[in-house]
Amino acid sequence: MPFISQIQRQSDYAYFPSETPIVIDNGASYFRIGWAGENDPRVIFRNIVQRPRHKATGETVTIVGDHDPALLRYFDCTRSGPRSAFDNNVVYQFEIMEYILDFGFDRLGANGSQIDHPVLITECVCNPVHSRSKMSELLFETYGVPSVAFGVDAAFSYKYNQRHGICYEDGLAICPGFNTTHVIPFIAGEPVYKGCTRTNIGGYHVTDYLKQLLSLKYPHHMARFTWEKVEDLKMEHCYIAPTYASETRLFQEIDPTFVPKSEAEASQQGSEVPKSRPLTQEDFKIVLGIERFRCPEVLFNPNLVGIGQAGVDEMAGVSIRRLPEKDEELEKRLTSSILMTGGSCLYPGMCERLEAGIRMIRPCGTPIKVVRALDPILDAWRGASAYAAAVQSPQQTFTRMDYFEKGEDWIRGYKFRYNL
Amino acid sequence: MESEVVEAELVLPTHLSFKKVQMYEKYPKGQSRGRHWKHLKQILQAENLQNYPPDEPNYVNIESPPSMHPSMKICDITGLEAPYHDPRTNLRYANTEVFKQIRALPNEYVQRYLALRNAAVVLK
Repeated sequence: MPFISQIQRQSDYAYFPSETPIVIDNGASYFRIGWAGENDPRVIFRNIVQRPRHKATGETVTIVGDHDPALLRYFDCTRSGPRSAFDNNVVYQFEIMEYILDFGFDRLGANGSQIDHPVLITECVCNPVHSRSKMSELLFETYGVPSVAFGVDAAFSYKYNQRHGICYEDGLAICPGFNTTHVIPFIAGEPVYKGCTRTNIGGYHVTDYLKQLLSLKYPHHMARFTWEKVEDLKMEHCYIAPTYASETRLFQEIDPTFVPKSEAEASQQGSEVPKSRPLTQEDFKIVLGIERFRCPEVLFNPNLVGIGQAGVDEMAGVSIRRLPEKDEELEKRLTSSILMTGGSCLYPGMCERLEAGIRMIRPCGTPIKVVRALDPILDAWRGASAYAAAVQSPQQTFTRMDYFEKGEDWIRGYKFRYNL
Repeated sequence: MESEVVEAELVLPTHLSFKKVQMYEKYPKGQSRGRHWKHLKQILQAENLQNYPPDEPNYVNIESPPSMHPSMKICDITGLEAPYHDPRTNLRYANTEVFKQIRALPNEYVQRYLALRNAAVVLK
């Protein structure tokens, strides 16, 4: 399992002076929190909350993140599914957000009467003012944080990779995330939001598609296909085909009656298995054939799930078109430095497919180079951590006084400068 | 609380020292827990985006336009390329074997396959 939650309580909170910022990567899939200047976040967990009832005592408790399902048998989970604070990629449920921040700070080892460190937290691109102001209110009022800064995770990832020479000052950041995919152009090191585009498709939709397809194909296994198990299957087996049509032809050529490549997965006893004959091992195998590349295809063709927007390769073209100035040289520089970041870009074969797709829509002969970030999952946090540790960052933050005096219009205009 | 649950520290403690206002003070028990938070649609409406210049990027206008490429038609059941379309169930299929399977499917499955594509008829 590539994603591992780290929820060990840290014991060195007291050693950090109160100027050291706390860096939070608040993603729709995982929540990462740690100290500025470090290379890895200290605490990582899934950004969900469950509020089941304890069977013995009857009280309602809160459980944050994903946990060992064996321990959950003491709780009545029927009326409480896992809930997320996000709607698309915007935080809207601040009660759940508060539980998550509680847990995150608690596992970071926080003690004392308030959180005495500045906080750098990530948000989505062009976050609505309501969400941003409620988040600042939560941090200032409930946690007593002295100052707060907001940044975009894809931008942090791009700047981190730029400093390591993976991509250049002018380029495109393509960030397929959990619920959304963004393409952000960078000119002279700063993101240009006028050229940014967002499609509401992401890793969640791919996993959901795979889950629906499998449960339609194997109806009596339906109860066993939990979202987490399907996500594991997706991470292990899915890949992106260079062209969808050629891969399907490959499947047809292997055997004219379409026998897909079999991947055996033995699951435990299912309760809806037909009882009329003794169960054989065949009943517990599932075969993943064409679904392996049909599901990630959704990222390039959202029409497959009924979302009428452009796919990732087309978005790059849209993004370049939306830029305010038309400059051929600039466009060439943009396409020769395309960075893929975000958890959903880890599929094998994605780089080549993206390059082919972008080549189709750009003029003939333009230089195109697509690279994957050093670590698509953690780079956003690392970039944010490097920023928070820099000397200039106090100018980017705003304090409680600023928040109350300057009001909503100022918050709307708040923009993080990414160049150091 | 069972010992292994306590040991695993599964449950979030109700009182945390670093908070100025605790959860049980903010959200007293007994009130409807589903606090009426604004959903994304309401947040966007409340933002009054029409008052601001349209070329300034905001959450709504950075959305991608519909795709210009011709849509890829794949078979709903097998995933192969599907040049054919069944008028009765509205499903796409690749060849005659799949067609036989489609005609044998109960209605519930037909609707679920269509719902994958967002093509099911939802009666409100």
